[in-house]
Amino acid sequence: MTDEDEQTSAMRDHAIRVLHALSCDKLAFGDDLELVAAANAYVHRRVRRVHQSVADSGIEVLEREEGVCGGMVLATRDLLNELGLQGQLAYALGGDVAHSMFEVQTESETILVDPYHGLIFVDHETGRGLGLDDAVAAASAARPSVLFVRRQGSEALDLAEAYARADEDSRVDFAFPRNFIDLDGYGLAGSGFAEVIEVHLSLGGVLGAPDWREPREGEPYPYSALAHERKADGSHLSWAYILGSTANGYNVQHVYRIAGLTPGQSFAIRTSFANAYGKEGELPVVSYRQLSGGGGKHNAKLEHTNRRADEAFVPQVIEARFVSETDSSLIVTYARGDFVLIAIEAIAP
Amino acid sequence: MSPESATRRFHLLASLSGSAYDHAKLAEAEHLRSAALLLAERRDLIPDSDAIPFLRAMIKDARTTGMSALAAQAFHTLIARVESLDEPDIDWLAQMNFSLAMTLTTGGLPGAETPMARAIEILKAKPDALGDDLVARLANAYSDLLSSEGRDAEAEEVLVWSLNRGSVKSDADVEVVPVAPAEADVQ
Repeated sequence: MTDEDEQTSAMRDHAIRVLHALSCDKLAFGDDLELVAAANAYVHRRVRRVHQSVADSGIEVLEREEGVCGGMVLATRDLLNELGLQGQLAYALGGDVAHSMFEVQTESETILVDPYHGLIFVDHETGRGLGLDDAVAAASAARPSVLFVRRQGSEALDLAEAYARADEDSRVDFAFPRNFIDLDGYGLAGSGFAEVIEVHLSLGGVLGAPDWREPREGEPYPYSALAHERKADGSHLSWAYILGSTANGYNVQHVYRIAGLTPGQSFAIRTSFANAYGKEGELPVVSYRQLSGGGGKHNAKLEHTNRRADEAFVPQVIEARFVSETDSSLIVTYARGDFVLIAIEAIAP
Repeated sequence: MSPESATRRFHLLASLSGSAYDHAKLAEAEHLRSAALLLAERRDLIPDSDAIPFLRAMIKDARTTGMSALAAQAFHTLIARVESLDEPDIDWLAQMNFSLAMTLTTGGLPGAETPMARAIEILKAKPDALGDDLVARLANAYSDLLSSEGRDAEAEEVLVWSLNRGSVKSDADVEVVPVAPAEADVQ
């Protein structure tokens, strides 16, 4: 049996465990909301939250029984696919850290699930699922629209057994609708829309760890420091370490606002990349355009990242130089490819 | 429920069999196979090409493990499916109705009269749909059932029909026959 066969077989076993949660009638005649809820509860109750856990696949998360929101969403997606249901990864930025969820499209409704927090989004009046847009709107209207899964146990449960309308377990790590208020952005993977991450910098300012070369305390990965940067108001910057079209289907672009400049002054945006992958054999390309404070433009082609495990880590560094006509500049990136950054700096060349 | 979701769910459930699980888990597997059986009743979602082989396998499994009620439910679903095919295999239908009736009878379950009557109805139209020994067993069982309900005239009529057909009443125990002969495959 190949590794792929084993993974398929393992995911099938997990799917069957999800099905165990439902009565015969619900399995055969029930609507898909029951199935979605059972899968969501299964992932939530099986997978322990482990900070900075990374995984390449949903089955890896389910087998290791640990992950964070991104991995738990991959597990939920793959589990639901195994059960014949499709959907898109969903994200919310701002208000709190970047958060991954999953929006399922059934024949008759759209249902947002959050396996990390053990939530499904349901209109209590109609009993129907809510999609991402609906959930955000419901949060703004302070209308209750969430079912919380109870944490006890590890087996899958059906909707009635697993979920409550209120957070009965008095959890303090999540309080709907906090995650949906003060959003910087939200969206779906594969939607075609770009999520623009606004990054504020002053000359000499550094975000991330441009000197990262190997794992160290609190920074196991090249992008760890940049991923945990905060804005001036204390909220998470989120996704400044991602650029371009990601493997998950997100489209992320950056806007850099540079303050504290002197008219006529030269400056550069220095971006350090841990990974860069082109699409369909093309080299990865980043284009920096000065939309205000001047009209500069800088295009940069990067090499495909294909570092062997025994090679020293060497980031690819791009310095995009501009002249500011005013005391601030706005630089927009357009990225073709999939990039992971370790640092963003505004420097005087 | 979308057809895609139902089909995927059906295949997952249908893939479970007693041999796929150890004995301790057989009951759990049975729960899921029961759900697959219910899904197989959904002709709007599960096509014959998927449902019929599953139902045949399930009947075999259920009868092997003594689960007469489950086997009977699968028989009912399978017969309904085959009855509505464009060109149903009449011989197979006769045999399935016979086997369903025997499954119900030997399992002490109600409802045997309907498949018995259906099998005889088919035999009257197509006398060679069952072999003589099976026809005799069917007639005996049906006659006994009718007699037990005080319907002696009807019981006698069945026996007369059977004798006129050339079959001979036998005291042999009624046994179930395979779900379908190998050559009677409608797929």
